[in-house]
Amino acid sequence: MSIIVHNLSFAFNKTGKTIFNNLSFETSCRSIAIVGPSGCGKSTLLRIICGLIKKSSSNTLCGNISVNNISPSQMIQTNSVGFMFQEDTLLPYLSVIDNIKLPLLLQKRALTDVSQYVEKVGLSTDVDKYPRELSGGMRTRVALARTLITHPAILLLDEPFTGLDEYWRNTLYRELETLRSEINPFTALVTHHIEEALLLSNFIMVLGKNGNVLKEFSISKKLPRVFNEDPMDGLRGIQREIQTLIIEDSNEK
Amino acid sequence: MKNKSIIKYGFLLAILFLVLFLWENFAKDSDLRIFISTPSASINYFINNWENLFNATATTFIEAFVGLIVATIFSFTIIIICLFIPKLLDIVLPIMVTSQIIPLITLSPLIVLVFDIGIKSKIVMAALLCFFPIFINFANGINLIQKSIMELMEIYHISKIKQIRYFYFPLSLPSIMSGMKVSATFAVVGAIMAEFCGSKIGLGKNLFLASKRLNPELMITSLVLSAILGGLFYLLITAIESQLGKWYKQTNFEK
Repeated sequence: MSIIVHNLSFAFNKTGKTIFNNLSFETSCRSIAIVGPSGCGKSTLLRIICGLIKKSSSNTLCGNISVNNISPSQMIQTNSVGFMFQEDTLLPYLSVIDNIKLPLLLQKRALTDVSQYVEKVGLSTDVDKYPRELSGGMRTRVALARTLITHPAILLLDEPFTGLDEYWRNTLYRELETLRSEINPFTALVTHHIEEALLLSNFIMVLGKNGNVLKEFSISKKLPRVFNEDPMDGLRGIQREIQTLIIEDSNEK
Repeated sequence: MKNKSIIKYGFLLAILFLVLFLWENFAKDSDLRIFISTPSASINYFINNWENLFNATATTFIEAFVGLIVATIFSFTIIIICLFIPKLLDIVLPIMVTSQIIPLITLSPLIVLVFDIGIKSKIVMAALLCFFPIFINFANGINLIQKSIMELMEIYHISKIKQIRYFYFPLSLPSIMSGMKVSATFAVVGAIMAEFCGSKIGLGKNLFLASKRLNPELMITSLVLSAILGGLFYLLITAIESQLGKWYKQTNFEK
Protein backbone atom coordinates (compact mmCIF):
# COMPACT_ATOMS: atom_id res chain seq x y z
CA MET A 1 0.00 0.00 0.00
CA SER A 2 1.28 3.47 -0.86
CA ILE A 3 -0.72 5.20 1.85
CA ILE A 4 -2.57 3.86 4.86
CA VAL A 5 -4.59 6.09 7.17
CA HIS A 6 -6.28 4.09 9.88
CA ASN A 7 -8.69 5.47 12.51
CA LEU A 8 -7.26 8.96 12.38
CA SER A 9 -8.81 11.31 14.95
CA PHE A 10 -7.74 14.89 15.37
CA ALA A 11 -9.18 17.70 17.49
CA PHE A 12 -8.06 21.04 18.85
CA ASN A 13 -8.20 21.02 22.65
CA LYS A 14 -8.69 24.77 23.07
CA THR A 15 -11.75 25.13 20.85
CA GLY A 16 -12.86 21.53 21.20
CA LYS A 17 -13.30 21.37 17.44
CA THR A 18 -13.01 17.89 15.99
CA ILE A 19 -11.46 17.84 12.52
CA PHE A 20 -11.32 14.07 11.93
CA ASN A 21 -13.14 11.30 13.73
CA ASN A 22 -11.87 7.81 12.89
CA LEU A 23 -10.92 8.68 9.33
CA SER A 24 -9.66 5.67 7.42
CA PHE A 25 -8.57 5.12 3.85
CA GLU A 26 -5.86 3.28 1.98
CA THR A 27 -4.71 2.90 -1.56
CA SER A 28 -1.83 1.50 -3.55
CA CYS A 29 -2.11 4.35 -6.07
CA ARG A 30 1.01 6.53 -6.13
CA SER A 31 -0.82 9.69 -6.99
CA ILE A 32 -3.74 10.72 -4.83
CA ALA A 33 -5.81 13.88 -4.58
CA ILE A 34 -7.90 15.16 -1.70
CA VAL A 35 -10.81 17.43 -2.57
CA GLY A 36 -13.62 18.88 -0.52
CA PRO A 37 -15.24 22.09 0.66
CA SER A 38 -13.27 24.83 2.43
CA GLY A 39 -12.47 24.06 6.05
CA CYS A 40 -13.00 20.30 5.78
CA GLY A 41 -9.43 19.60 6.88
CA LYS A 42 -7.68 18.84 3.57
CA SER A 43 -4.54 20.84 4.38
CA THR A 44 -4.58 19.62 7.99
CA LEU A 45 -4.61 16.03 6.75
CA LEU A 46 -1.59 16.72 4.55
CA ARG A 47 0.28 18.21 7.51
CA ILE A 48 -0.61 15.26 9.74
CA ILE A 49 0.56 12.82 7.05
CA CYS A 50 4.04 14.35 6.90
CA GLY A 51 4.41 15.02 10.61
CA LEU A 52 4.19 18.81 10.48
CA ILE A 53 1.26 18.53 12.90
CA LYS A 54 2.26 16.36 15.82
CA LYS A 55 0.50 15.28 18.95
CA SER A 56 0.87 18.09 21.47
CA SER A 57 -0.74 19.66 24.52
CA SER A 58 -2.94 21.80 22.25
CA ASN A 59 -4.42 18.92 20.27
CA THR A 60 -5.57 15.33 20.39
CA LEU A 61 -4.13 13.20 17.64
CA CYS A 62 -4.36 9.43 17.33
CA GLY A 63 -4.46 6.78 14.62
CA ASN A 64 -2.03 5.00 12.33
CA ILE A 65 -0.57 6.60 9.24
CA SER A 66 2.13 5.44 6.88
CA VAL A 67 3.21 6.46 3.40
CA ASN A 68 5.56 4.10 1.56
CA ASN A 69 5.91 2.35 4.95
CA ILE A 70 7.29 5.54 6.51
CA SER A 71 5.54 6.94 9.57
CA PRO A 72 4.93 10.69 9.93
CA SER A 73 7.56 10.97 12.67
CA GLN A 74 10.24 9.52 10.37
CA MET A 75 9.22 11.39 7.24
CA ILE A 76 10.87 14.73 8.00
CA GLN A 77 13.83 13.19 9.81
CA THR A 78 14.73 11.12 6.76
CA ASN A 79 14.31 14.10 4.40
CA SER A 80 11.74 12.09 2.42
CA VAL A 81 9.21 14.90 1.99
CA GLY A 82 8.87 17.58 -0.64
CA PHE A 83 6.13 20.02 0.37
CA MET A 84 4.72 22.68 -1.90
CA PHE A 85 2.62 25.25 -0.11
CA GLN A 86 -0.23 27.43 -1.32
CA GLU A 87 2.12 30.42 -1.02
CA ASP A 88 5.30 30.00 -3.03
CA THR A 89 7.50 30.46 0.12
CA LEU A 90 10.39 31.75 -1.97
CA LEU A 91 13.00 33.60 0.02
CA PRO A 92 13.08 37.22 -1.21
CA TYR A 93 16.81 37.63 -0.60
CA LEU A 94 17.80 34.71 -2.81
CA SER A 95 17.88 34.74 -6.59
CA VAL A 96 16.01 32.14 -8.64
CA ILE A 97 19.05 29.84 -8.82
CA ASP A 98 19.83 30.23 -5.10
CA ASN A 99 16.23 29.53 -4.15
CA ILE A 100 16.24 26.35 -6.22
CA LYS A 101 19.50 25.05 -4.77
CA LEU A 102 18.66 26.05 -1.19
CA PRO A 103 17.41 22.61 -0.01
CA LEU A 104 20.51 20.94 -1.46
CA LEU A 105 22.73 23.46 0.29
CA LEU A 106 20.92 23.10 3.60
CA GLN A 107 20.97 19.30 3.46
CA LYS A 108 24.60 19.25 2.30
CA ARG A 109 23.82 17.47 -0.96
CA ALA A 110 25.70 17.74 -4.25
CA LEU A 111 24.67 20.73 -6.39
CA THR A 112 24.75 18.75 -9.62
CA ASP A 113 21.20 18.91 -11.02
CA VAL A 114 20.57 22.61 -10.45
CA SER A 115 21.03 23.95 -13.98
CA GLN A 116 19.07 20.99 -15.37
CA TYR A 117 16.11 21.80 -13.12
CA VAL A 118 16.28 25.48 -14.00
CA GLU A 119 16.08 24.51 -17.65
CA LYS A 120 13.22 22.07 -17.10
CA VAL A 121 11.05 24.75 -15.56
CA GLY A 122 12.00 27.20 -18.32
CA LEU A 123 13.82 29.76 -16.19
CA SER A 124 17.29 29.64 -17.75
CA THR A 125 17.19 33.32 -18.66
CA ASP A 126 15.90 34.42 -15.26
CA VAL A 127 18.36 32.72 -12.90
CA ASP A 128 19.71 35.97 -11.45
CA LYS A 129 16.31 37.54 -10.89
CA TYR A 130 14.82 37.87 -7.42
CA PRO A 131 11.31 36.59 -6.55
CA ARG A 132 9.81 40.10 -6.63
CA GLU A 133 10.85 40.42 -10.26
CA LEU A 134 8.89 37.32 -11.27
CA SER A 135 5.24 36.78 -12.15
CA GLY A 136 3.04 34.47 -10.04
CA GLY A 137 3.43 31.62 -12.52
CA MET A 138 7.21 31.97 -12.62
CA ARG A 139 7.40 32.00 -8.83
CA THR A 140 5.39 28.77 -8.68
CA ARG A 141 7.80 27.30 -11.24
CA VAL A 142 10.74 28.14 -8.97
CA ALA A 143 8.92 26.62 -5.99
CA LEU A 144 8.18 23.48 -8.04
CA ALA A 145 11.83 23.07 -9.05
CA ARG A 146 12.96 23.71 -5.47
CA THR A 147 10.56 21.07 -4.13
CA LEU A 148 11.56 18.38 -6.61
CA ILE A 149 15.31 18.98 -6.79
CA THR A 150 15.86 16.87 -3.67
CA HIS A 151 14.10 13.91 -5.37
CA PRO A 152 11.62 13.44 -2.53
CA ALA A 153 10.05 10.01 -2.07
CA ILE A 154 6.86 11.72 -0.90
CA LEU A 155 5.55 14.81 -2.64
CA LEU A 156 2.83 16.78 -0.89
CA LEU A 157 1.11 19.58 -2.78
CA ASP A 158 -1.13 21.92 -0.82
CA GLU A 159 -3.07 23.88 -3.45
CA PRO A 160 0.15 25.01 -5.11
CA PHE A 161 -1.53 26.33 -8.27
CA THR A 162 -4.19 28.45 -6.58
CA GLY A 163 -4.40 31.96 -7.96
CA LEU A 164 -2.83 31.11 -11.30
CA ASP A 165 -4.61 31.62 -14.59
CA GLU A 166 -5.53 28.81 -16.99
CA TYR A 167 -2.37 29.23 -19.10
CA TRP A 168 0.01 28.96 -16.13
CA ARG A 169 -1.95 26.10 -14.61
CA ASN A 170 -1.65 24.02 -17.76
CA THR A 171 2.03 24.90 -18.16
CA LEU A 172 2.76 23.92 -14.57
CA TYR A 173 0.76 20.68 -14.81
CA ARG A 174 3.00 19.66 -17.71
CA GLU A 175 6.17 20.67 -15.89
CA LEU A 176 5.05 18.81 -12.77
CA GLU A 177 4.36 15.67 -14.77
CA THR A 178 7.72 15.89 -16.57
CA LEU A 179 9.62 16.22 -13.30
CA ARG A 180 7.46 13.64 -11.54
CA SER A 181 8.00 11.04 -14.24
CA GLU A 182 11.75 11.12 -13.54
CA ILE A 183 11.61 10.54 -9.80
CA ASN A 184 8.21 8.86 -9.43
CA PRO A 185 7.37 10.03 -5.90
CA PHE A 186 4.21 9.20 -4.00
CA THR A 187 2.11 12.34 -4.53
CA ALA A 188 -0.74 13.72 -2.46
CA LEU A 189 -2.44 16.79 -3.90
CA VAL A 190 -4.88 18.95 -2.01
CA THR A 191 -6.99 21.13 -4.27
CA HIS A 192 -10.30 22.92 -4.72
CA HIS A 193 -10.02 22.44 -8.43
CA ILE A 194 -11.69 19.13 -9.30
CA GLU A 195 -10.32 19.16 -12.83
CA GLU A 196 -6.78 19.50 -11.43
CA ALA A 197 -7.35 16.48 -9.19
CA LEU A 198 -8.65 14.45 -12.12
CA LEU A 199 -5.73 15.42 -14.35
CA LEU A 200 -2.95 14.73 -11.89
CA SER A 201 -4.02 11.72 -9.82
CA ASN A 202 -5.48 8.25 -10.07
CA PHE A 203 -7.14 8.12 -6.66
CA ILE A 204 -9.43 10.90 -5.46
CA MET A 205 -10.79 11.15 -1.97
CA VAL A 206 -13.70 13.52 -1.42
CA LEU A 207 -13.83 14.85 2.11
CA GLY A 208 -17.04 16.17 3.63
CA LYS A 209 -17.28 19.32 5.71
CA ASN A 210 -17.15 17.21 8.89
CA GLY A 211 -13.87 15.60 7.88
CA ASN A 212 -15.54 12.35 6.82
CA VAL A 213 -14.87 10.53 3.54
CA LEU A 214 -17.79 11.18 1.20
CA LYS A 215 -16.51 8.94 -1.57
CA GLU A 216 -13.33 7.53 -3.06
CA PHE A 217 -12.70 7.36 -6.79
CA SER A 218 -10.09 5.26 -8.53
CA ILE A 219 -9.23 6.35 -12.05
CA SER A 220 -7.88 3.69 -14.33
CA LYS A 221 -6.85 6.08 -17.13
CA LYS A 222 -3.05 6.15 -17.24
CA LEU A 223 -0.96 9.05 -15.95
CA PRO A 224 0.31 11.47 -17.22
CA ARG A 225 -2.86 12.73 -18.84
CA VAL A 226 -1.98 16.37 -19.29
CA PHE A 227 -0.12 15.75 -22.55
CA ASN A 228 -3.21 14.12 -24.16
CA GLU A 229 -5.17 16.02 -26.75
CA ASP A 230 -8.25 16.03 -24.52
CA PRO A 231 -6.91 15.31 -21.03
CA MET A 232 -10.40 15.32 -19.50
CA ASP A 233 -11.73 12.76 -21.95
CA GLY A 234 -13.69 10.13 -20.02
CA LEU A 235 -13.35 12.00 -16.73
CA ARG A 236 -16.18 14.50 -17.01
CA GLY A 237 -18.72 12.14 -15.46
CA ILE A 238 -16.57 11.81 -12.30
CA GLN A 239 -16.05 15.57 -12.28
CA ARG A 240 -19.81 16.16 -12.23
CA GLU A 241 -20.31 13.50 -9.54
CA ILE A 242 -17.66 15.07 -7.28
CA GLN A 243 -19.16 18.52 -7.81
CA THR A 244 -22.60 17.26 -6.84
CA LEU A 245 -21.22 15.47 -3.76
CA ILE A 246 -19.47 18.64 -2.52
CA ILE A 247 -22.48 20.87 -3.17
CA GLU A 248 -24.87 18.47 -1.43
CA ASP A 249 -22.52 18.16 1.55
CA SER A 250 -22.11 21.95 1.79
CA ASN A 251 -25.89 22.46 1.70
CA GLU A 252 -26.51 19.86 4.41
CA LYS A 253 -27.19 21.36 7.82
CA MET B 1 13.88 63.63 -12.60
CA LYS B 2 17.24 65.40 -12.28
CA ASN B 3 15.59 68.80 -12.73
CA LYS B 4 13.08 67.94 -10.02
CA SER B 5 15.90 67.19 -7.56
CA ILE B 6 17.71 70.41 -8.43
CA ILE B 7 14.51 72.40 -7.82
CA LYS B 8 13.86 70.53 -4.54
CA TYR B 9 17.36 71.01 -3.12
CA GLY B 10 17.59 74.55 -4.49
CA PHE B 11 14.35 75.39 -2.70
CA LEU B 12 15.61 73.91 0.59
CA LEU B 13 18.90 75.82 0.30
CA ALA B 14 17.03 79.04 -0.40
CA ILE B 15 14.91 78.55 2.76
CA LEU B 16 18.06 77.83 4.79
CA PHE B 17 19.76 81.01 3.58
CA LEU B 18 16.61 83.01 4.22
CA VAL B 19 16.41 81.72 7.82
CA LEU B 20 20.13 82.44 8.37
CA PHE B 21 19.73 85.93 6.89
CA LEU B 22 16.72 86.76 9.08
CA TRP B 23 18.40 85.26 12.13
CA GLU B 24 21.60 87.27 11.55
CA ASN B 25 19.75 90.55 11.12
CA PHE B 26 17.14 90.21 13.86
CA ALA B 27 19.48 88.74 16.49
CA LYS B 28 22.36 91.16 15.88
CA ASP B 29 20.62 94.26 17.20
CA SER B 30 18.38 92.79 19.88
CA ASP B 31 18.45 91.06 23.27
CA LEU B 32 17.92 87.79 21.44
CA ARG B 33 21.68 87.82 20.83
CA ILE B 34 22.20 86.73 24.47
CA PHE B 35 20.24 83.51 23.90
CA ILE B 36 20.68 82.45 20.31
CA SER B 37 23.81 84.29 19.18
CA THR B 38 24.07 84.99 15.43
CA PRO B 39 25.20 82.70 12.62
CA SER B 40 28.33 84.81 11.98
CA ALA B 41 29.31 84.87 15.68
CA SER B 42 28.76 81.12 15.93
CA ILE B 43 30.90 80.50 12.84
CA ASN B 44 33.64 82.69 14.29
CA TYR B 45 33.43 80.80 17.55
CA PHE B 46 33.71 77.52 15.67
CA ILE B 47 36.79 78.72 13.75
CA ASN B 48 38.53 79.87 16.93
CA ASN B 49 37.65 76.81 19.02
CA TRP B 50 37.43 74.09 16.40
CA GLU B 51 39.95 71.83 18.12
CA ASN B 52 38.01 71.71 21.41
CA LEU B 53 34.72 71.32 19.59
CA PHE B 54 36.14 68.57 17.40
CA ASN B 55 37.41 66.66 20.46
CA ALA B 56 34.01 66.99 22.17
CA THR B 57 32.22 65.76 19.02
CA ALA B 58 34.65 62.86 18.56
CA THR B 59 34.15 61.80 22.20
CA THR B 60 30.35 61.87 21.88
CA PHE B 61 30.62 60.01 18.57
CA ILE B 62 32.71 57.23 20.12
CA GLU B 63 30.36 56.92 23.12
CA ALA B 64 27.26 56.78 20.92
CA PHE B 65 28.85 54.41 18.39
CA VAL B 66 30.11 51.95 21.00
CA GLY B 67 26.71 52.20 22.74
CA LEU B 68 24.94 51.33 19.50
CA ILE B 69 27.26 48.36 18.90
CA VAL B 70 26.80 47.11 22.49
CA ALA B 71 23.00 47.42 22.19
CA THR B 72 23.03 45.57 18.86
CA ILE B 73 25.14 42.74 20.28
CA PHE B 74 22.93 42.45 23.37
CA SER B 75 19.62 42.49 21.51
CA PHE B 76 20.87 39.96 18.92
CA THR B 77 22.17 37.69 21.68
CA ILE B 78 18.88 37.73 23.58
CA ILE B 79 16.85 37.08 20.42
CA ILE B 80 19.15 34.20 19.41
CA ILE B 81 18.82 32.66 22.88
CA CYS B 82 15.03 33.06 22.57
CA LEU B 83 15.11 31.29 19.20
CA PHE B 84 16.84 28.34 20.83
CA ILE B 85 14.35 28.40 23.72
CA PRO B 86 11.13 29.70 22.08
CA LYS B 87 9.15 29.87 25.33
CA LEU B 88 11.69 32.33 26.72
CA LEU B 89 10.51 35.03 24.30
CA ASP B 90 7.03 34.88 25.86
CA ILE B 91 8.65 35.72 29.20
CA VAL B 92 11.25 38.22 27.96
CA LEU B 93 8.98 40.25 25.66
CA PRO B 94 6.47 41.46 28.31
CA ILE B 95 9.37 42.32 30.64
CA MET B 96 11.06 44.35 27.91
CA VAL B 97 7.85 46.17 27.02
CA THR B 98 7.05 46.90 30.68
CA SER B 99 10.59 48.19 31.25
CA GLN B 100 9.86 50.94 28.73
CA ILE B 101 7.40 52.52 31.18
CA ILE B 102 10.46 53.96 32.96
CA PRO B 103 11.62 57.04 31.05
CA LEU B 104 15.18 55.82 30.50
CA ILE B 105 16.58 59.34 30.34
CA THR B 106 15.78 59.78 34.06
CA LEU B 107 18.19 56.94 34.77
CA SER B 108 21.20 58.89 33.50
CA PRO B 109 22.16 60.46 36.90
CA LEU B 110 22.05 56.98 38.45
CA ILE B 111 24.11 55.50 35.64
CA VAL B 112 26.73 58.25 35.95
CA LEU B 113 26.81 57.60 39.68
CA VAL B 114 27.29 53.86 39.23
CA PHE B 115 29.68 53.88 36.27
CA ASP B 116 31.61 57.08 37.08
CA ILE B 117 31.84 60.19 34.93
CA GLY B 118 34.15 58.54 32.38
CA ILE B 119 33.20 57.13 28.98
CA LYS B 120 31.65 53.95 30.47
CA SER B 121 28.52 55.61 31.82
CA LYS B 122 27.85 57.30 28.45
CA ILE B 123 28.20 54.02 26.58
CA VAL B 124 25.81 52.34 29.02
CA MET B 125 23.25 55.13 28.65
CA ALA B 126 23.49 55.11 24.84
CA ALA B 127 23.22 51.30 24.81
CA LEU B 128 20.19 51.38 27.13
CA LEU B 129 18.33 53.77 24.83
CA CYS B 130 19.32 51.85 21.67
CA PHE B 131 18.56 48.37 22.93
CA PHE B 132 14.76 48.34 22.88
CA PRO B 133 14.08 49.53 19.30
CA ILE B 134 16.52 46.97 17.87
CA PHE B 135 15.22 44.17 20.10
CA ILE B 136 11.52 44.81 19.53
CA ASN B 137 11.91 45.24 15.78
CA PHE B 138 13.95 42.03 15.50
CA ALA B 139 11.30 40.17 17.54
CA ASN B 140 8.57 41.70 15.40
CA GLY B 141 10.41 40.68 12.22
CA ILE B 142 10.50 37.09 13.44
CA ASN B 143 6.81 37.17 14.31
CA LEU B 144 6.01 38.40 10.81
CA ILE B 145 7.60 35.39 9.10
CA GLN B 146 4.94 33.49 7.14
CA LYS B 147 3.66 30.30 8.79
CA SER B 148 4.41 28.35 5.62
CA ILE B 149 8.07 29.44 5.73
CA MET B 150 8.28 28.22 9.33
CA GLU B 151 6.85 24.90 8.11
CA LEU B 152 9.36 24.85 5.27
CA MET B 153 12.17 25.12 7.84
CA GLU B 154 10.70 22.12 9.64
CA ILE B 155 10.44 20.15 6.40
CA TYR B 156 14.13 20.82 5.66
CA HIS B 157 14.98 19.44 9.10
CA ILE B 158 17.95 21.75 9.66
CA SER B 159 19.82 22.91 12.75
CA LYS B 160 18.79 26.03 14.63
CA ILE B 161 21.98 27.79 13.51
CA LYS B 162 21.08 27.19 9.87
CA GLN B 163 17.51 28.34 10.54
CA ILE B 164 18.85 31.59 11.98
CA ARG B 165 21.40 32.10 9.22
CA TYR B 166 19.19 31.28 6.24
CA PHE B 167 15.71 32.20 7.48
CA TYR B 168 15.23 34.15 10.70
CA PHE B 169 17.99 36.70 10.27
CA PRO B 170 17.61 37.62 6.58
CA LEU B 171 13.80 37.57 6.76
CA SER B 172 13.89 39.93 9.74
CA LEU B 173 16.53 42.20 8.24
CA PRO B 174 14.12 44.93 7.05
CA SER B 175 12.67 45.11 10.59
CA ILE B 176 16.13 45.05 12.17
CA MET B 177 17.25 47.94 9.98
CA SER B 178 14.15 49.96 10.95
CA GLY B 179 15.08 49.44 14.59
CA MET B 180 18.70 50.38 13.89
CA LYS B 181 17.60 53.64 12.26
CA VAL B 182 15.63 54.64 15.35
CA SER B 183 18.45 53.52 17.63
CA ALA B 184 21.08 55.41 15.63
CA THR B 185 19.63 58.76 16.69
CA PHE B 186 18.82 57.46 20.19
CA ALA B 187 22.51 56.60 20.64
CA VAL B 188 23.50 60.26 20.29
CA VAL B 189 20.67 61.36 22.61
CA GLY B 190 21.76 58.78 25.22
CA ALA B 191 25.41 59.80 25.16
CA ILE B 192 24.56 63.52 25.38
CA MET B 193 22.09 62.95 28.23
CA ALA B 194 24.71 61.08 30.24
CA GLU B 195 27.23 63.85 29.54
CA PHE B 196 24.73 66.38 30.93
CA CYS B 197 24.89 64.56 34.27
CA GLY B 198 28.64 64.67 34.52
CA SER B 199 31.53 64.31 32.13
CA LYS B 200 35.00 65.59 31.37
CA ILE B 201 34.42 66.21 27.67
CA GLY B 202 31.61 65.91 25.14
CA LEU B 203 28.86 67.79 23.36
CA GLY B 204 26.52 67.23 26.32
CA LYS B 205 29.02 68.84 28.65
CA ASN B 206 29.37 71.79 26.22
CA LEU B 207 25.59 72.27 26.14
CA PHE B 208 25.43 72.10 29.93
CA LEU B 209 28.24 74.65 30.33
CA ALA B 210 26.78 76.92 27.67
CA SER B 211 23.49 77.18 29.53
CA LYS B 212 25.18 77.70 32.89
CA ARG B 213 27.67 80.29 31.64
CA LEU B 214 25.26 81.89 29.18
CA ASN B 215 27.55 81.25 26.21
CA PRO B 216 25.20 81.27 23.18
CA GLU B 217 27.99 80.64 20.64
CA LEU B 218 29.05 77.44 22.41
CA MET B 219 25.38 76.46 22.68
CA ILE B 220 24.63 76.96 18.98
CA THR B 221 27.81 75.29 17.71
CA SER B 222 27.26 72.30 20.04
CA LEU B 223 23.63 72.01 18.99
CA VAL B 224 24.56 72.08 15.31
CA LEU B 225 27.30 69.50 15.88
CA SER B 226 24.85 67.26 17.80
CA ALA B 227 22.41 67.47 14.89
CA ILE B 228 25.19 66.65 12.43
CA LEU B 229 26.21 63.69 14.60
CA GLY B 230 22.63 62.36 14.69
CA GLY B 231 22.40 62.75 10.92
CA LEU B 232 25.75 61.00 10.49
CA PHE B 233 24.56 58.00 12.47
CA TYR B 234 21.36 57.83 10.43
CA LEU B 235 23.39 58.02 7.22
CA LEU B 236 25.66 55.26 8.49
CA ILE B 237 22.70 52.90 8.85
CA THR B 238 21.33 54.00 5.47
CA ALA B 239 24.76 53.27 3.92
CA ILE B 240 24.72 49.77 5.44
CA GLU B 241 21.17 49.31 4.08
CA SER B 242 22.26 50.30 0.58
CA GLN B 243 24.84 47.49 0.65
CA LEU B 244 22.21 44.83 1.31
CA GLY B 245 21.46 44.39 -2.36
CA LYS B 246 18.72 44.63 -4.93
CA TRP B 247 16.28 42.34 -3.08
CA TYR B 248 16.31 44.62 -0.04
CA LYS B 249 15.38 47.68 -2.09
CA GLN B 250 12.61 45.70 -3.81
CA THR B 251 11.26 44.48 -0.47
CA ASN B 252 11.29 47.90 1.18
CA PHE B 253 10.61 50.43 -1.50
CA GLU B 254 8.46 48.69 -4.11
CA LYS B 255 5.50 47.75 -1.95
